[in-house]
Amino acid sequence: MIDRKRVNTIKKKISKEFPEFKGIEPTIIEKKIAPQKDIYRRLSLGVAKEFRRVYRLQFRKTIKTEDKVSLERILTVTLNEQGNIIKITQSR
Amino acid sequence: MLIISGKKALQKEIRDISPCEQAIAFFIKEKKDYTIEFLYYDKPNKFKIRPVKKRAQSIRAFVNKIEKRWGTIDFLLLVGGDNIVPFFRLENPCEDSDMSVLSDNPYASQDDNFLIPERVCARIPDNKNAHFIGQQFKKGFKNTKKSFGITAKIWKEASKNVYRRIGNIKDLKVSPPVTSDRFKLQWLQNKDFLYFNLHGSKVSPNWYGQDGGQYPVALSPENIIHASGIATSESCYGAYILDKSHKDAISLKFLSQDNVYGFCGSTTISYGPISPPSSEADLLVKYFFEYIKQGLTIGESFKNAKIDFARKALRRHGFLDDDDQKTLLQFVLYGDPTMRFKKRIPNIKRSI
Repeated sequence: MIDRKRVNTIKKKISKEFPEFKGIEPTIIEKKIAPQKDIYRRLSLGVAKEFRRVYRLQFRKTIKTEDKVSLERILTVTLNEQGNIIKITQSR
Repeated sequence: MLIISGKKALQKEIRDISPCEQAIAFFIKEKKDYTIEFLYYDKPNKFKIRPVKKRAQSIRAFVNKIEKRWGTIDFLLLVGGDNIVPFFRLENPCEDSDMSVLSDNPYASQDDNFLIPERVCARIPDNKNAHFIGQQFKKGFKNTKKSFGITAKIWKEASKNVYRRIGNIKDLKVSPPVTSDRFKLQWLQNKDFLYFNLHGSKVSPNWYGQDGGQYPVALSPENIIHASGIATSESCYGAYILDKSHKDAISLKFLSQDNVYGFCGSTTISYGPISPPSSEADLLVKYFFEYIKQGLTIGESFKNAKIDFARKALRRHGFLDDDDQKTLLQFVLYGDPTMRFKKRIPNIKRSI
């Protein structure tokens, strides 16, 4: 499992770069990704990689648009096994 | 090419189906480069495949049986919305509020690997209107070499990376300051490509910009008058059409325009990066534009975009993660998939 210190570092980074998610506690999801053999075969990409572990830190909040519609905003930070950020995505 | 619909369900939705059947007959006659069959899945057919009920899984099996008798189906066109040819409800790979992912991917696949399409699959929604369906079969492309794009301010840099494939990034509109009440109708007129990277909602007819905590209405159905081009949206629920019409779904409003040739968007909550490099919805749309510009049909461009998207994601990380999988499943293409921007070389008979 990813350590608390690393989570706090990421929370600080998100608060600084995306102030709208400041103060939001992320949900931490650990994912074990099995080799995707069928997809590799379909795309003729050789041998699928071994089991991978990634961590997803999901920051969620609901906002109101100017015409009073509720929108769920989701920001997800994906980390590799070493705790390095692979990518940051936002719901559209 | 196989065009498929359900007669009973179509009659229930639009009542008089004869204008629709006439438009399809006209389309088949005009598309001399394609071998086309039009079948109702719930009626006897010349391939002697037993009719099936209105269930996505059964309709898919019906199509695959037709293929075994007839030969490879390169293009599959579903006629009607969810009440006529149901979307598949697939398990949502992401932890978000979507109970399932509405998808046409399984129709594009012969086996159970739904992520990577094997054939072109597009859909012509019904909008509960026979004229609307017929209209989609009669559209012809007019090249203008001009594009329009608009992005929420927070994704400006990410959007530039997509928009540069179809236009000058200096022309990309940003919301805010652009809002629905300041939207100029001519922005959407006489264009080849229309690109939208805005917020969307299942319950609202509008798409939204964003700057910090400010979410103004950037586009509403009323802003779309005499629009033209291929419309592509990364918005959450941009292609969500269940129980909607052209009055409260921007996707259907676009398709109701005589010169909008197709619509590509997401049926559920979609994802994208904050900044380059492009990934998720941004990457898929970028590839879609690239193939259209190369002269492929919009159907082939859509299929190839999904294949290239999967390849890129695998090369980057070695696997398709939850967001990648959802992106592949949720993006759908509405409109005639044989539409193309460049004239193809004549006298080459296409396969089925």
